[in-house]
Amino acid sequence: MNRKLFVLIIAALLLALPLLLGQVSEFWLHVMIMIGIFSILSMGLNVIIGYAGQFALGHAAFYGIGAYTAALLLINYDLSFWLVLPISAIVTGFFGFLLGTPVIRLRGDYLGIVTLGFGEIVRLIFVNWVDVTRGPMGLPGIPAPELFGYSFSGKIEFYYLILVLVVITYFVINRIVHSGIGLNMLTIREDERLAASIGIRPNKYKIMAFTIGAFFAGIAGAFWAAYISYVSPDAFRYLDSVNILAMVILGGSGNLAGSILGASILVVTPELLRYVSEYRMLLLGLAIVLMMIFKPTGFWGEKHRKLNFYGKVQKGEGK
Amino acid sequence: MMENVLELERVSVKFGGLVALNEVDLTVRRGEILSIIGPNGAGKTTLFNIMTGIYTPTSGQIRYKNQLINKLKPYKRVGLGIARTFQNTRLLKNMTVLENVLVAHKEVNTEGVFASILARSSLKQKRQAIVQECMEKLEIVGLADKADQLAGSLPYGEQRLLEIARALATGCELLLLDEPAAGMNQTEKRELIKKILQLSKQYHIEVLLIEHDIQMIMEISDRIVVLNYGQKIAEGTPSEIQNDPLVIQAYLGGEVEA
Repeated sequence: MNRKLFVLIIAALLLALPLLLGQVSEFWLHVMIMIGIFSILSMGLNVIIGYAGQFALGHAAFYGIGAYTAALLLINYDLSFWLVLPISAIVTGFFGFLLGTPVIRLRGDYLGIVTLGFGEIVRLIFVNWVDVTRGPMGLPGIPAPELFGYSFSGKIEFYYLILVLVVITYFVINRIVHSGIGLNMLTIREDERLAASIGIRPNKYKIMAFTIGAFFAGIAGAFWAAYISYVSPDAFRYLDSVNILAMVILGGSGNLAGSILGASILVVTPELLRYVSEYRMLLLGLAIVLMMIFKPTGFWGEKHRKLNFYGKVQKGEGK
Repeated sequence: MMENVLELERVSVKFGGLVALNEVDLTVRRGEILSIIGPNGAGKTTLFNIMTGIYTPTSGQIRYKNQLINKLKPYKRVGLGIARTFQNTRLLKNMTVLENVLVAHKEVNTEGVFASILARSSLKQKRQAIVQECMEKLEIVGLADKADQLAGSLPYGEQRLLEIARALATGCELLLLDEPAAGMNQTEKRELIKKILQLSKQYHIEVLLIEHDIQMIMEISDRIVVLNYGQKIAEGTPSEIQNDPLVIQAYLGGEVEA
């Protein structure tokens, strides 16, 4: 029951936050929104890395595909944002499926390198396919979402939107990883040969993980496009993939709440360290190294995984 | 009536120049406990690996219930009813005993994405039924009261039993046990023998056994196959094998008399 109370307090705080923060500064509201975006990205990547155990390094590419898909649809076809959001997610999920299908033969570092290459290729397409993406100039003037004729003009609306999206993402991914699918992914992560010899089809679940991870990256991308109202290749670099990866690892792979924590830490810390700007990356690097030494499983690692979620054993039966 | 469940016909496995199995013929008949013995490196585990699909044979045919399964992927063979345990136990050490059994259950492996997101009451009921079924498997091997412990915390002998429960959860009809008694003491071995006999007689599962404990082999096997250097050198009932000069030579070395 304590847990329920805790969740309620957090929910109330998050709901009331814009009222408190909005008075103080728009800037911190923006930080909160960025935490939301990166929470969705890192939860998606957590399915791929933390659950299915596939070391993928190109998550920013999916984020970018989602953002560009949304931007192009919103600018060129004048569709409603509420339609574009799921379309972008599905398109990006499809790209996850496309990437997943050939690369799942690879393991470990090799998979990392190929997905890294994929990330770079996608970025280069954004830069060079000038006819469609306008290259490095990016796509400006993406219309803001509207709800019942009311246009999203301020940060507060976007804050509530991302809050809803994070909650949905958490809910959906939580259900998926706490199911037979999640169990199978964990088995594949731990021992692929074992998985195959008890009837699990490893490739199916690896591709599924890529598709799910990409799908949610697409949601984050579409939101980003509408929020900033401008997309350019700069936001989807290799460094951003690494950043998302660091969030998953720091928060604890194989734990969704950990991903949100990781995203919060890695979005807020650089902002707090802004006044020592020259040393910012240095300090962040140091923090990650220390983390790896003293708490390699992340802040909220596997230990907090819900056990036997499949259903409690009914005591006294079958005896 | 002697029905053949699994048939190997002139099966060879070569790794480069090394011949791990050389033209081995082998049949598993309905309802029997068949043991495979032989010195270290004789090819016993390789035999299991080609039966379960981890390796494909270089030549020869493997038939399961008259179906050619040479090229079938491991997970598909599980679907047909072949399950195994491993010589070096392969458990998910950070997961609970029950979860280790759950992952092998067919229904768990076919759960859909949307069904799991919606998690309607029908799914919950199904899951409850699956859990009960897996608990029954744990009951058979005697680990039911340890369902909530982490698999890694079990003693070695119980880890082997858990592997058997997991294999049972796949709904197997042919069970391959790779040295199930290794690391067990005498009392545990007696229990294991009882359980294997129970699986065979009560649950009608064909058991294929690799074991080094000759006493145990002689006690529970219906038939024994002896491998040496990848070749089948003898096959027969326990008493036949005990007196086979080739087998004695393989185990003790030295010349064959006459």
